[in-house]
Formats: sequence, structure tokens, C-alpha cells
Amino acid sequence: MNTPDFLLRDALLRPGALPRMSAADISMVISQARTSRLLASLAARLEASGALALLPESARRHFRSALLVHHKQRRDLLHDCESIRAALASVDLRLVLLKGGAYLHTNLAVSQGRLITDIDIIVPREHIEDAESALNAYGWESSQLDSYNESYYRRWSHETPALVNPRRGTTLDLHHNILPPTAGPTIDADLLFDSVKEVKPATFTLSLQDMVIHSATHLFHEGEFYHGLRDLWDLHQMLQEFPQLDASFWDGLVARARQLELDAPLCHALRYTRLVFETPVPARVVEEATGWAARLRQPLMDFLFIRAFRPSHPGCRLPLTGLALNALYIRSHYLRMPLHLLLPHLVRKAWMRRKDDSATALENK
Amino acid sequence: MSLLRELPMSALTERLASGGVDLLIGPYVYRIRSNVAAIGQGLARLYADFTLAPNGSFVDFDVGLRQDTIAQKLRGQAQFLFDQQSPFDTVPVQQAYAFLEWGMNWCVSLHVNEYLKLHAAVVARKGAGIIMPGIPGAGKSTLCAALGLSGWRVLSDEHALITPGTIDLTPLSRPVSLKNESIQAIQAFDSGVILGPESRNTHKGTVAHMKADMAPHSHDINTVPAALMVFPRYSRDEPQELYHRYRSASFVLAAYHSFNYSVLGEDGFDAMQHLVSQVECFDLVYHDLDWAVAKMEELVG
Amino acid sequence: MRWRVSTAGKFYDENEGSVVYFDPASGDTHLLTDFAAQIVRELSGAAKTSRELEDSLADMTDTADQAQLREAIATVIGELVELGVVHLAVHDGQVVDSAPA
Repeated sequence: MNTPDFLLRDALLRPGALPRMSAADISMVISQARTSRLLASLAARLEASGALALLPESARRHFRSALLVHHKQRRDLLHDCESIRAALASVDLRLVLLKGGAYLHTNLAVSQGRLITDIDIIVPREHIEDAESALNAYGWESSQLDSYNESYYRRWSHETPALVNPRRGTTLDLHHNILPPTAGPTIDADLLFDSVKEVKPATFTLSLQDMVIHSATHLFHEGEFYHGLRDLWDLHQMLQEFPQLDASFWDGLVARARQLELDAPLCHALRYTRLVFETPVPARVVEEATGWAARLRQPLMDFLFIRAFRPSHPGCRLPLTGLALNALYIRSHYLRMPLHLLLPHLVRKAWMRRKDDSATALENK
Repeated sequence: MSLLRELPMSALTERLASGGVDLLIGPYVYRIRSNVAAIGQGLARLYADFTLAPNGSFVDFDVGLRQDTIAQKLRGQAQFLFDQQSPFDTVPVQQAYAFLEWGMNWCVSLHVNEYLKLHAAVVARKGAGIIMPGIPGAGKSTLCAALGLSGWRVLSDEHALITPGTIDLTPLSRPVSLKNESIQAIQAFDSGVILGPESRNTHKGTVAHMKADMAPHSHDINTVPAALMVFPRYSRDEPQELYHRYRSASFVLAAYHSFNYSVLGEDGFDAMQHLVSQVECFDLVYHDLDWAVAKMEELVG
Repeated sequence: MRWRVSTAGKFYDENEGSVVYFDPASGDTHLLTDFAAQIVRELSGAAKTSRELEDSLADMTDTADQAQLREAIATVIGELVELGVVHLAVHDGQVVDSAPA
């Protein structure tokens, strides 16, 4: 099946074409990229291809501005990770970074222009309390949650409530697994720790294969698709670059995902990166990844995801996008939690949100 | 190039509600969309002398203030739009105009880093630019409005845009935001002041905007060199005075009130040092606008 | 115990008694007293002990009382460590992690 074009995709895949677009189209690309949190990523592509210099100054300054934010985030991240590393070292734990933080510590293509909102790290579950108190001592404060949210997190989540460093203004998510224990597959986190890679002294990331599997898992279990396109672009970049870094990358990727019981999200990742970004994936890997159940569900999933992987810009929305996004929201909550947990949580969330709204409204009065 | 005032009200309303109205504002093009009556009225009053961007222009900021759902209309709420998304909660429709102006500031505060951006009013007299940083409530906007009504050129009441490595100030002239007692104070200062729609009960109290492009060349896009940095502070209880302040302390205070000093990192330090070492810095404590305007006149000689 | 500055920063000094200091490691900007700024300058070149700092700073201050100078240095070092500007160094020149906040 084909996906209709949108300007941002063309610009990401063929940055050299951007300077030849009309002023109105360039504004549209910037607007879509900003909405999708891909402006700095696109800027990095433009810079690397030499196309940035060919753009009119009115457009170029927006790309440069986004790159400056990216550079600032990279500096902050490196500095913060030093303090996190030291905190963990004080209780004999090593720093294992996930997602954006891991990318920015590498020179991988996916790190170029990648914006982050917080730092994600993973420690073995049995050490999570040691890690948290060590981080507290190093200036990372545990969030104050109400007792409902607190107990929800502690019981059912794969991470602790966010830690905040008020002096630095940064947020840290401390995970002990890459999926909540309530989600269908129970992932053996030890498998992940067994294959981490040291990217600089005492700083680790997941292996290349696990990075892809984690990114796919995160994306396809995610309830909110505001960053869906950005996350799919991450996967595209990884799937393009990793086989060049490691000739055996494709071999065993699917087997690894099966071992972690995460072959379903990997299958989605391979399908939608190809559909949206024309990512080169060997046919045998696609074949291996796509089971009969996946084939059966494909038409429905295509309908849902093709809509999710577009900028949420009105100019790019396909008919029925709202419906598809709602369906995905419910689907992902369903994936994360058994149904009996799901309903009270959603109701509770909705109720609390309403309560917050009225509190804000009162404050404004 | 035509001015907004040349557009009849009916055409303005129609354009706001459909594709949007593109305006040249300082170095940027804003596309404004709205189906709220107060927005059209406010723009017609305060932006009459702004230039409409030619068709097909590059658009920097696509903003809107709209009521789009039946629920919003029933509850009297409207939403601010940026890139046609709503980044914030809805606001009462009576506050729509203030939120549009606020959102237009937000675009610049958050999204552009080609300048060192200080949270400051900027005015100019005889070719000398004066940067007036200040925390909210310090009286920078009130003084800025009074200067604008006294023949000074208002470059901005919110953003000092400084090209790093220079002392050049880029004008971003927009209406000046007045709050609560400042509104009466400015009306008392000059009864001829042109004010836009009043927004009551906002998080900052009552807000109204003042047309601020009365000086000739208000929309000249060329930069103006900075000559002084003046930190105004409104105080009823203290004697009015103007005195020198240390450059080092001025540096840190201006950096603290900058929107992107830390984003620029070391370049931000260099840019601020370049600026502060070339401008004289003053504190201005005032409660009488006539006195304050006269002191400012003295400063530029 | 030796103290050091991990990455030499930038100063803006107009001889006003206070100095602006940019710390490239954290990206933070601080307003320091002349005395604190001098300590940062001393430690930017090489790691020094508190005793070595006393010797270099003796000329700068008019305090004849050695104990007073020692106390002032200890206080300022404490504050600079808290701000993350100064770190404890070990003999091979490697930076040891700053004390937990």
C-alpha cells in the first residue's frame, strides 16, 4: 500500500530539494517539522548535505535556531550524565542510557539534531531503590505525587516517578525495564544488561539491535502519537545506519526480538519505516519478522498507523485521523495493562484531569 | 505594499477567518487566523499602520485565536493556535485579544535564536537605542508607553533582539502591553492614547494594548545601535533617582532575564560581554512618568 | 587536599569589585566577588592546596591575620564546590566527583 506524500517527508529524505521549493512550501515544511519535533533533525540533514547554505536567510535562521537548541541539549546532557554516572558509581551501579540520551552520547546518525525532553536510564530492578537514593543525594529530587499516582507507579510501572534536578532544570526517568510489568510480554531485563555497550568510560547504551527493538517497543506501545513521526524517523535512521556499522546487524535481529518477546513491535517498525520512509530492509528479514497473525491484522494496523505517522498539521491529516489516533490510544493502553486495570486508570486519569482544569480555572479567577 | 488600514473591516474579518492575514512585524512575517470578533477589531485598531506581506511570502509564525468546537462556543472559550496546533489550554473568549498578543510574544521568546534575546523594552531617541530590562511589574512597559507617547520610537516592549558580536538592536515593533493601574496611568499621561480591547481577569489582571508606532520610521527594519541599558523600577515609596549601576551586576541581571542566554552557551556570554562593555548602565527608580521621561531625555542629551 | 577547576572558564571583569564568570562545564554564569574570582583564576591553571592558595592570595588581601585568610578561603571554596565551579582533585590530576549536594 502507498502512503500519500507530505512535504516534511520529502524534505527529510531529500534535503537537497528544499531550496528549490517555494517560500510558502518551505514555511509549511518548517511548520510541520516544528509540530513533529523534527526541525533540528531536518536542520542537521540540511547542514550535512550543504543545502542549508542555499536556503534564503528567512528560512535558514529557523533551522539554525533549532540546531542551537539541540547543541544546548547535548551540552546539558553530557554534563548531567556525569553527575548521574557519579551518583550511580557511589552505589556500584553503572550508567546505562536509553533513547535520546543514548543517541546523543554516540555519533550515530540518529543523534544528529535529535531533541530530547528528559534523560532515560535503566538499572536492575533489585537496585532501583539504591539508585534512587543515590541520585537524591546528588541533587536529583523524586517527584511529589499524590498517593494514587505514587502507588500506581510503584506497583505497575516500569519506571519510578520522574526525578528532577531543580538546579539544572532537567528531568530523569529511572527505569528497571523497557515495558511495564502489566504489558503482555514480560521482558527479561537481564538479557538487555548482558549485551550493553560501553560508549565512554563507565557509560553504557543498549546494543545496536536492542536499541532498535527498544525504540520500536516504545513507539508501538505508546499511547500518544504526537512524537510518532519523530520516533519512526529515529527507527529509519537506525535501520539505515546500523547495518553499515555491524555487518551482522540483520542476522539475528528478529531472533533477538523473539527472545525478548518483542517481535510484534519490531515487525511494525520494519513495515512502517518502509512504507513512510522507504527504508531499505532485506526481504528475508521482513519475511522472518512477519508472522501469520501480523498478516491478518495488517489492513487495520495500516489504516491506524498511516494516519499516526504524519505531522498532526491540518494540511496533512487524512480523513478519519482523529478516529485512528483515538483507537491507537486505547490500543496502547490495552497493550500496557490488563483490562481490569485499564478502566479504573483511564477513568481516574480523566477525572483527575478535569479536577486540574477546574483548579487552574479557579486560579485565574 | 499595502497597509492593514487599507483593508475594509469586512475583508479583514473574512481573511482572518479563512486563510489568515500575513503581516510584516519587525524581521518576521506573522500569519494571523481568527474567527473571534475582538481579534479583528483589535488588529484594525492597533496594527493599522503595519504592512501586509506580499502573497506567497515565507511565513515565520502561523498563529491563531479561534473558537473551533461547539463546546468552546457554548462555554465561551477560545484557543491559541501555533502551527495550527493548540499548545495551551483554552481561555475565556473575553481574554482572546490579550492571549493573541501574548502568544505572538511567545513565538519569538521560544523559537528563534539568531539573536541574543533579552526580556526588555527597547526605545530609541536621536538614533540611540536604550534597552530597559525588567521583571514583570517593574514598570518597563509603562515607561516604554509614556516614551512612545512623547516622541520616542518604540522598538519593542518585550524583546531586545541583539545580533551576537554587535550592539545592533533589531526592531520588533508591536503594541505595548499595559496592565491594571498602568492603563489609567497612561490614559492620564496622554488622553489621546489609542488602546485596543480590554481583557479582564487574565492571570495578570486587566490587560490592554497600546498602539505604539506613532514615531516616524516606526517600521523601519534597519538596526539601531544600543547606547544605554536602563533598569527601570516603579516605586511609590522611594525617592525618584537615576544612578549608575555596575556593568558586572547589569550583565548578570540582564542574562537572568534573557530568553536564550543559556541556549547560546559560551556565545551568549561573549555576546552579552560585547554588549555590556559598550553601553552605560543605570538604575531608574520612578513613580512620576513626566519626571522619568524627562530623565530619559537628559540621558540621550 | 587539592582543588581545581575542571575546565577553565571566562571572566568579565571591569574592576568593579565583582566579576562575571562563565563556567563552560555547566554552562552556568556566576557573579563572583573579586576574592572568589581570584581563587577561580588560581585554580584554573593547576590544582592547588588551600595552603598554596593562602600564599598566592596573601598579597591580594590586606588582612594580616593568616587565620582569617584561611577561613575566608575555606568558606569561598565551599561555596564554589557547591556551585560546581571547583572540584576536589587527586594526585594524578583526575577530577574526583564533587561532593553530593
